[in-house]
Amino acid sequence: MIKGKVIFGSILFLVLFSTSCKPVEDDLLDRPYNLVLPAGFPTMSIPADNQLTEVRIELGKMLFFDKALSRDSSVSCGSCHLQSHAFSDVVNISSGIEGRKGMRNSPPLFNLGYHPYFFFDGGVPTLELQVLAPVQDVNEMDHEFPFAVQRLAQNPAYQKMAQIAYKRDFDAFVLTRAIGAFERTLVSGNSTYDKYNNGNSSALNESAKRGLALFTSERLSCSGCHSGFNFTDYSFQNNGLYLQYPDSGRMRVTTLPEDRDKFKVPSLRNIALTAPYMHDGSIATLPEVVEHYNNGGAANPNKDPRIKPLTLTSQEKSDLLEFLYSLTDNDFITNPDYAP
Amino acid sequence: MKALNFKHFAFILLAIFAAVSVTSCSKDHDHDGTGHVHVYFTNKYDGAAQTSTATYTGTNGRDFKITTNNYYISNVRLVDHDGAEVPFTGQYLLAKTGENNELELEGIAAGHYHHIRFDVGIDSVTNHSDPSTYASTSPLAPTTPSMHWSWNSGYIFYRIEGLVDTSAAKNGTVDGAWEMHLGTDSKLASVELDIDLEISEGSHPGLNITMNTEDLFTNIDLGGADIATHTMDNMPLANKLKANIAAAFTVE
Repeated sequence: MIKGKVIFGSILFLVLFSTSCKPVEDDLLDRPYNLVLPAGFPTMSIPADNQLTEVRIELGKMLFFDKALSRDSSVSCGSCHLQSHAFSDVVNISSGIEGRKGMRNSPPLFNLGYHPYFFFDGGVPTLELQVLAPVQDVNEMDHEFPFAVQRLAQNPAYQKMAQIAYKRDFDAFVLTRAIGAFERTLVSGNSTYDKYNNGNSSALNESAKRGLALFTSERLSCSGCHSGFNFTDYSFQNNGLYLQYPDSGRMRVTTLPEDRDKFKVPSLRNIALTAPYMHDGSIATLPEVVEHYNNGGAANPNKDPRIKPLTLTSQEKSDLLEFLYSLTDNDFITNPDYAP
Repeated sequence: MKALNFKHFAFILLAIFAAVSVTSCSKDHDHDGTGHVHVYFTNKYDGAAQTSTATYTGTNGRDFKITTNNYYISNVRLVDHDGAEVPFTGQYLLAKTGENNELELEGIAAGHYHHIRFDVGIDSVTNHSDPSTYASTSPLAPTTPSMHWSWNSGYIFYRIEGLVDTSAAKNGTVDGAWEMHLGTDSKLASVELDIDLEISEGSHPGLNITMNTEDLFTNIDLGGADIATHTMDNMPLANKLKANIAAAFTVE
């Protein structure tokens, strides 16, 4: 009888205890995040195992700005991807740990959920897989991935958020998914050009309108590759930067001679913010980029035939630049949601 | 005295419990008329266990060391007396020097098996999967040293590296780094070995397979022209390594 009372008491205690836990569990619930896309943008395809939630995005942002990701805790993703520059860097080649230099210019980060592959040579097919690269690259964070995961897993906040967001201990899956989730929210589509394109005909000045007409003209063929809402067709092209390249570009992953010296066409959104230019950051300013295309580039055997002398007048050059400046999205670079 | 007796009693009880549970464990394999095989892979060099500290002399006369000798075994199949393949899909082994590289093949029908076939590397579907989706205990999860290329997503099928004497005089100073990282779908290497394997209900024989590491260097001038490959950047050397893999395995 007494034994029975003890058991009943224990059960009652357990029931009460679990009931009292409920409100706490409610606090731990994650909420789906509704990614608001700019007018005219297509639906973004988001992987089934990494649907956006508030805690996933917040965790990803914390990891993006955490220097513990690098072997000597000296650099974070945010070290070479600055919001003020549309998440690109201001130098031709960014410094990894110990001031090490890789071989390519840090790309801006926005509208990444639309990219069919990543890096200038397209060697990585998903945003989640992309996370593995800078962490392990000897010239960037130089960190063995399991060691990076072990270190970050010591952080109680990360552990708690991993449980809430992904219902598992902090691990490589959580690290890659969370950063991928945050990066998918980096959406930029509210430039002056967008306002014009969405019906405000006075958003662009007359010079920018003339620049837009030049940009889309057959004569210049800029929009042959820089096409669509994101101003890129993601193809691999040679634009005659050099006759001989130290970096073989797309051929590095395909080994095909026809891919030699070809690089993924970058978006032109926020282009005024992302100097220096080209895959190696070798052109310092946007007027110099326009001059490069006007000259037609070096006679590289894989150069796209659309890269040829354009004989632009100085007025045409300044109109083209005026249009390119209109692609800057000031809301994007000041959005507090993206700041650490 | 009394306490001692109790300890003895407890120990005996524990021993009986352990014996019973072990017996019942191995019994589990016996009920369905099948047996299983423990396949072991051992990295050797000229017949002795390969170690990361030993200095070896290549056929080109250069001294060298092998500090890493890691590779994936997958797509294992046993071939029965009718020539039919019994596949063991979804089983991957990351073999390393000095480790107990064991692959347990279960549920094998009683009978005689004449060949074992396997691939060195990862099939083209799994090769392009995301390592971070696997449990950390899986051989396919991110590991160190890395067996995955992050810049050209795919697994490193074979990772072998070390130090070599690069001096013109071949004076025995082993201080230059060499490395061969083999990967990409076309570099999957198929291996077939003759075996004489009898499986009966409940049997669980071992099968010892040797990686004769010295055979990987056939036609490779380590320390000379063939100092490094990450496959894409030195395809000729990668192709030589791939060609050497199939002949480098033997059954003990």
